[in-house]
Amino acid sequence: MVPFLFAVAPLPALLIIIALVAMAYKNKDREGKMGTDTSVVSLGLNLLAYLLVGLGIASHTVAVPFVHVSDESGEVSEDECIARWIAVVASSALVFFGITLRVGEEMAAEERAIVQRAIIQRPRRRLAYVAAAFLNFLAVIVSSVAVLIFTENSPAMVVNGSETEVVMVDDYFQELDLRVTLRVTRCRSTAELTSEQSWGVYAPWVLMHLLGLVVHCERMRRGLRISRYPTLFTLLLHSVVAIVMMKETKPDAQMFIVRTPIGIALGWFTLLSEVVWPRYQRYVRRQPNNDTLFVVRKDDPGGEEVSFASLLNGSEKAHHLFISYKWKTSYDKVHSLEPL
Amino acid sequence: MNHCDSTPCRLTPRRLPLETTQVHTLYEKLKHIGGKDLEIWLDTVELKKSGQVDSESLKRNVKQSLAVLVFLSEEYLTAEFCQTELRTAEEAGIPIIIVCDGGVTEVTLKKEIQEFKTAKGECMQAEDKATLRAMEKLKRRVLAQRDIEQKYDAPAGAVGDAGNDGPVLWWSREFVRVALKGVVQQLLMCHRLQKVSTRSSGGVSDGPRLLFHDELLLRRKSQGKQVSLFVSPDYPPERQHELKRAFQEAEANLGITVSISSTRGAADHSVLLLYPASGLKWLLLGHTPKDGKELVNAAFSEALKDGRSRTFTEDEWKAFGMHYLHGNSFIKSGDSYFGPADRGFFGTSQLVTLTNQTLGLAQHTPAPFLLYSTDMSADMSEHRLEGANMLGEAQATRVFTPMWSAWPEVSSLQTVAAEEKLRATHQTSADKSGTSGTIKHLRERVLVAPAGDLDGVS
Repeated sequence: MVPFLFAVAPLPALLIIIALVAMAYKNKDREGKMGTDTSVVSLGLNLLAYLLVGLGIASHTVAVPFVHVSDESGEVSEDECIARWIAVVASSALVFFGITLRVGEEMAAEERAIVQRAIIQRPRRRLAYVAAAFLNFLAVIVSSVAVLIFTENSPAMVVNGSETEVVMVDDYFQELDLRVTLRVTRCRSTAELTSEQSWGVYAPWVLMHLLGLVVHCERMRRGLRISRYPTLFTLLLHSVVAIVMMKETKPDAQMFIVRTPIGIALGWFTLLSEVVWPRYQRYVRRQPNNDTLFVVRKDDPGGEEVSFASLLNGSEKAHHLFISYKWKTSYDKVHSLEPL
Repeated sequence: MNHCDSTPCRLTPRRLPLETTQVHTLYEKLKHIGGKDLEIWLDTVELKKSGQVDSESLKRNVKQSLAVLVFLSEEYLTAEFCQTELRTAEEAGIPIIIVCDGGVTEVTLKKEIQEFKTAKGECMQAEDKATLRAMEKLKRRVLAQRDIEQKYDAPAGAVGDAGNDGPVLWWSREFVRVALKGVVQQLLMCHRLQKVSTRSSGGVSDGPRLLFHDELLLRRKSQGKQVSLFVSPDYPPERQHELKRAFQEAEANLGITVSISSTRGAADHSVLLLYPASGLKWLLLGHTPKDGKELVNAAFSEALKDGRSRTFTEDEWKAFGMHYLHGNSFIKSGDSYFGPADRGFFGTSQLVTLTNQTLGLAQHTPAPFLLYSTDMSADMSEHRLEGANMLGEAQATRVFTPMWSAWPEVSSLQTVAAEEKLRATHQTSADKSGTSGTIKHLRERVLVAPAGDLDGVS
């Protein structure tokens, strides 16, 4: 447990800094809209979501390789096996949790806007997303507890082995069966888990992936914000890796040389799709394009970008414009309808 | 939960294939400009979110808006929801921005208001009276603006009853950006943070202007550039004035210097405005026409009787059912013959000669500005036919091919058309061959078009 704690200890500070930088940029983007109560809540939840995703990324890229380093020594303690398992599961779970929470926050923001416009509120769906995020997190806990229980009662496997070698003895080559007793220990492979243990470990894990994907699909259906497809790809990548690792029953799959590249790849890809790509998209959107309007004064030929956000600041108005028009379809003519 | 128990409402068109209307185009383009910072309330968008919109929520949202954008199409005033929105905005003192579709005329507006009066009868409620007042005000604003646009030089502040009402904007496919700018400009005015010019296209005032990013870049590039134009004195005075006004406004918008003269210099761009003959004013001809196209229209012939000249309104002229008038047309009324006072571009021999000369000039001379007038909804095919008769097929093809050089009847859009032409001169100077955008476009078409399509084009 000590190496695990040692590995994770510096990460929160690093991630908080990253998240704060990200949120500061976001804050700038929002211009005058910060400061209301709802915005503070929104900022906090967003910060938490980014923090969770950041922790997941760090866990993938730093914690997973770190806890697998002892694999080279040939001696693995029980604590190290626990740390490895938790690092692998928690990395993906944190990413999924963060992404789901972000979807929930987007839903909440959308609903707040709807409430502002005094249109019907739909709290059920949002609650479903909050529940999904919670179940997601619960899956990690259950999975980790399960692994703790089974490893406590059955310690890491002791590996003995024998090899057949061709060696030169008295000018002749002879095939000798060399039997060497090794004091090597390794963590259990999935093949060595009992059926109950497998269910206990993998059922929450699978549930976590399914929930993450379902929630994200709903997010895509509703067209919420950017980074929809990269995020979907990230989630799918995590799911595919999880399935492959579950199917791979050999003990080799739990080794440093396998887990480290996978962890680093997942971490970096998540970083790109969840942090870098959305920031880049926002940066691109903030650049003036042909649709950007400028107010040009005679004494300032450089022009100043029109700021729509400031028009509603300090005003009781909810919209800039209300578009009044006649529908082209005949449905508009059916204006009085009988109650359903 | 059903919200329609007490009030009429638009219901769940989630599965309705809502067509992409002009309004949706306008909405999308405004959203492109303002992004998520620009909050626009559009019923179909709200319907997608909440499933239903009732008249109470319409009223509430009108009051919660900085301004109401009325997309005034034909039959707008006949829709009950539109009437409610209009009345609510008027009563709440919410500024109304009018974007007018081309199909709206004085006749349609009067007819729709009359229909409303007839439907309500003599026992009008207070609410109906308020609706009627709002309708009448809307009509006045549209007609006043149309009048101003057609007279060109009326003060912009004269529009509408209230001094804060912005000008009516015209929705034209070719000049969507002008309407978008106008909407944003009036929105800024509503907020009173920005005291921008009241002319939708920027006007000639020195006040702040709205420019798109690409326009701003071009303005920076072309700052201080000089362009000399030649406008023939053979144009009728109102046409000359129309051209000069539009180019002077465009000059101010682009930040370049334009000199307009009525004598052609070697470095001048000739401005050719191809416009149709006008049927609004008729003169008694002193002789029997030897050639030309004789019109046969009993009602019109009757209307011309007993007078040396006669002036009609646009609607009166349309009522005679004569959609296009050739420059050499004439009509017999009693024993006299009448011809149009304004014979159009192809009815003015000096202008035809000018066109032939301009198109025959060598490559190194400044390219002409060919502008194709679409005023009074002129019949394009007839206009082209008349051009072919006067210029010959080859020259007519050269003149009529660049259909993108439209010259709308609305003065604010004319400024934009003039800007396009002046921008082309900027590009021309960068072009080593010295070929204008217009001529280059023509040549490119010649290269790609089938031989039969552009017979005689050199």
